[in-house]
Amino acid sequence: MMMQSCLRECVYVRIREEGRLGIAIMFVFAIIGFLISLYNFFIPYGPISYTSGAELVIVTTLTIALLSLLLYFILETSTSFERFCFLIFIIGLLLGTLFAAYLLESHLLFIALFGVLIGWFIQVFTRRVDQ
Amino acid sequence: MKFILNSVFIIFIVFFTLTCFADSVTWPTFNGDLQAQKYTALTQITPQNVKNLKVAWTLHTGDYSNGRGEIPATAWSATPIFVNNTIYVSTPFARIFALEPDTGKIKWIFDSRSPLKAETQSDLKSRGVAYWEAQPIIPGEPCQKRVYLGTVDGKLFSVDADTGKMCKDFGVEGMLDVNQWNNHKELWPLSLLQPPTVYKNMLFLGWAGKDFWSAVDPQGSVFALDARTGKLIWTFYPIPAHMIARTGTANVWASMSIDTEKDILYLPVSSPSPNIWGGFRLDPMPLVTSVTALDLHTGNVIWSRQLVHHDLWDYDTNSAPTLVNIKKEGKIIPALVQTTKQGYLFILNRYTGEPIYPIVEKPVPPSNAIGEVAAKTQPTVPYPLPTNADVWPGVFKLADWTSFGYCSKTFAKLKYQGRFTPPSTEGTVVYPFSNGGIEWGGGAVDPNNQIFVVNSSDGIEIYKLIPRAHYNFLQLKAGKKGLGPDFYPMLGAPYGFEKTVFLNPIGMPCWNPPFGHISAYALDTGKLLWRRPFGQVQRWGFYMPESWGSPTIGGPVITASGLIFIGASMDSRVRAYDLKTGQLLWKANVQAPAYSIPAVYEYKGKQYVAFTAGGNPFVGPRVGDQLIAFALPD
Repeated sequence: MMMQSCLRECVYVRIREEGRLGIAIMFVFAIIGFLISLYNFFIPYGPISYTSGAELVIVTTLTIALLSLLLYFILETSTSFERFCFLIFIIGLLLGTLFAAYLLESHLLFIALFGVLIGWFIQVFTRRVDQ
Repeated sequence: MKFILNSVFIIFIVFFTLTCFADSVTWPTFNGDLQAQKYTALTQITPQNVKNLKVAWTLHTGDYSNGRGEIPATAWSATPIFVNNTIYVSTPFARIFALEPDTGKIKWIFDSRSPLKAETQSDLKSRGVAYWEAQPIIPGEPCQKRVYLGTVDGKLFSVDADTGKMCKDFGVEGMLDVNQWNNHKELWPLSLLQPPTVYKNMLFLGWAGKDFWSAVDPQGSVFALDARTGKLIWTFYPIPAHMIARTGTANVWASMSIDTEKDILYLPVSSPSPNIWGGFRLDPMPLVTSVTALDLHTGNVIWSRQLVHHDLWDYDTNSAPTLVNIKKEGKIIPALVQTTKQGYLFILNRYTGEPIYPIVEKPVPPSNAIGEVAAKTQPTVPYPLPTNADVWPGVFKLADWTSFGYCSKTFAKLKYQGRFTPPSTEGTVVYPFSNGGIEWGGGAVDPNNQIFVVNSSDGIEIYKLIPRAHYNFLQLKAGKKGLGPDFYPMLGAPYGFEKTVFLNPIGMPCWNPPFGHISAYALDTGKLLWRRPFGQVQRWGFYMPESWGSPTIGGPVITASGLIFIGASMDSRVRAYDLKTGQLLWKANVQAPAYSIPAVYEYKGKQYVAFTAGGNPFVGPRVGDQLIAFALPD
C-alpha cells in the first residue's frame, strides 16, 4: 500500500508536474511496440517472421524508445529548438512506423504505436506546471 | 450349407467394407479426379460456417531450401492425395510421406535418394504422387496398392502404399529409368515433376525439360506404361519425325485428364524448342502447343487443336483440360475447358475438338528476327471474356514516379504491338507473360451449377533476342559466374535470349495492378459471373492493398456447398470464397505461399481441407515445408 502510494506520489506526480508525462507514455508504448516487433520477427512460421519489414520496425520502435528516453533526461537542459527537433524527428519516425505496421498487418503493433502517438500529443500540447 | 456360409461371408465382407469406408471421401489424384474438375461433393464446410475453420493438424517435412547453401531452392507445389485411408505427398527432396488423415501423424517415409540437383529447373520441384490399386486386390500380396514418385533426374519409383517399400516387379527393383527414352541424354534428363496419370492398369507419363537451352532439345514424348511392371505400352510424339533434327521438347509437363466413358486421354502439349525463336521449325507441326485427344489404349490421335501457331512466347498449353458436360440450349454437350497462358478459355467438344464458343483467327504482327517467319494469325477466344485483356495494363504511375520515369522511358524503347508481338532484338513487351495468364493449376468446375472458376496472373515480361556474337561476348565478359538466371543460350540458334519481368530498379512492377484475379464463368452462357483481384502481394513482409491482387500459381477447388478453396497467392495465405458471389469468406496464414492445388477430403465423418505451403522462389523468397489441414471444430 505504502509502495503503491509512493509510486503514485513520487513517480507519477513528479513526471506530470515536470511535464514529462507524454514522454513517459511514448517510452512505455514504444517499448511495448519493440517487444511486439521482436515477437513478430522471431515467432516460427509467423506471417511476417524473419522479413525485412519486421526487422525494420524492430529498429524504429527501439529508436523511438531510446529517443523518448533521451528526451526525458535532456528536457531540463535542452533549448526549446532542440526539443522541437527531437519531437519532429520522433513524429516522423513514428508516422513511418505506423504506416509500416499497417502494411505489415500487425494490429497489436499498430495499437502500441497509436499509444506512442497519444504520448507525443500529450507532450506537445500540455505545459509544465511551473511554466 | 456351403452356399449359405459363402453368402454370409460375402455379406460380412461387404458390410465390413462399407462400414470402414462409408465415412471417407477421397481426393485420389492431383486434380481430385481424372476429369480435372477439382470438385468435391462434400458439404460439411459451408459458406456459413467456413469462418470457424481451425487448424486440424500440420506437418513440417524438413525438405526445403532457400537456395543460399549448397542445395538449390525448393518450389513445392504438390497436391496431397487422400486415398487408402492415407494422405500421400511428395517433397522437393523426392521423398514420399504417408500420413494419418486426421492427425498428420507419419505412417512411413520413402526416400528415393535422388540427388538434390535441380537439373532441368531453376529449383527443386515436386507436384506430388499418383496412386494405383489392383482390381481385384489379392489379400496378403505386397504392392497391390502403389504410390508412384517421379524425380528430377528421370526416375520413376513404385512404392507399396501400405508399407513404403519399393515394388520389385516395377522397372528394375522398383525403379524405372525413364531417361532411357531420351533421344538427347547428353543435354539434360527428362524431369518427372508432375505425377503420372493413372487409369485402370496404365500410367500416362509426361516430363519437364528446359526448352530455352538449345535449338535441338530432347524430343517431346508421352509414355503409356504398365502400372505393375513399368513396361512401355506406347509412346506419343507430337513433333513430326522429319523435324526432330531441327527442334525438340513440345513435351507434356502438366497434368492430363481422361474421359473414362470413351477411354480418351487429353494432353496439354507444350511448345517446341527453342521457345523464343523458331527459324529452324517453320514446317507445320500441328500437334505442338495444342490440346490433343488420344485413344488411351493405342496412343493414336483422335483429334488435336493447336492453340498457338508457331509459338514464339513460351505459351505452352500448361494444364489438364477440365472435362464437363455443358447444358446449353436444352442439349448436353460433352465439353472440355482448356485454360491457357494467354488467358483464353478454349471450350471445345471433347469428342470432336470443335469449338463450343467461337475461336477467331486474328492477324498478328510479323517478326523482324533473322530467319524467323511468325504466323500470320493466331487463335483467339473473345468470348468467354479472357482473363487477360488484349492490351497491356499500361504504366503504373507509382512505380514510374518512384523510379524517376524509368518505367515509361523503358516502355517507350520497347516493341509492343499488342498480343503476340514477336520477340525482337530491341526488346518486346509480352503480355500476358510466360507464367500466364493461367498457370498449371488450371480451373475448377461445379458440374451441377455449370460454374467454372479460375485464377490468373497479370504479368509483363520483356523478351530480348541477343545476336549470337553479342551473347557469346556477354558470356565471356561474365566469366565463371555466368550471365544469371534471366539469360538463356538457345544454343545452335542465331540468337541467345534474355527474359526479364518488367520491374523498376526498386523491384516494383511497371504495369498497373491488379496483378492477379479470380474469375467465375457460367459455362452454359459463357458469361463472366464475377471477377475480383485475388490475393495480396507481400514484399519484405509488407502487404500491398487487396485491390492490387497477387500473381498466382496453383489452382482452386470447388465444394458442393458452394465454396472455393484456394492458396496460390504470394502472401502466404489460403482463402475461401463464396462460389456464387466471389465474396471472400475466410483466410488463414500459412508458412509460405501455397502455390499448389488443395485437397478436400472426408475421414471418419469429418471434412478436411489440406494445403502444401512451399513457396516458389520465382515469385518471392519465402519457401516452406508445411502441409496443413483445416477442419471445423468438434
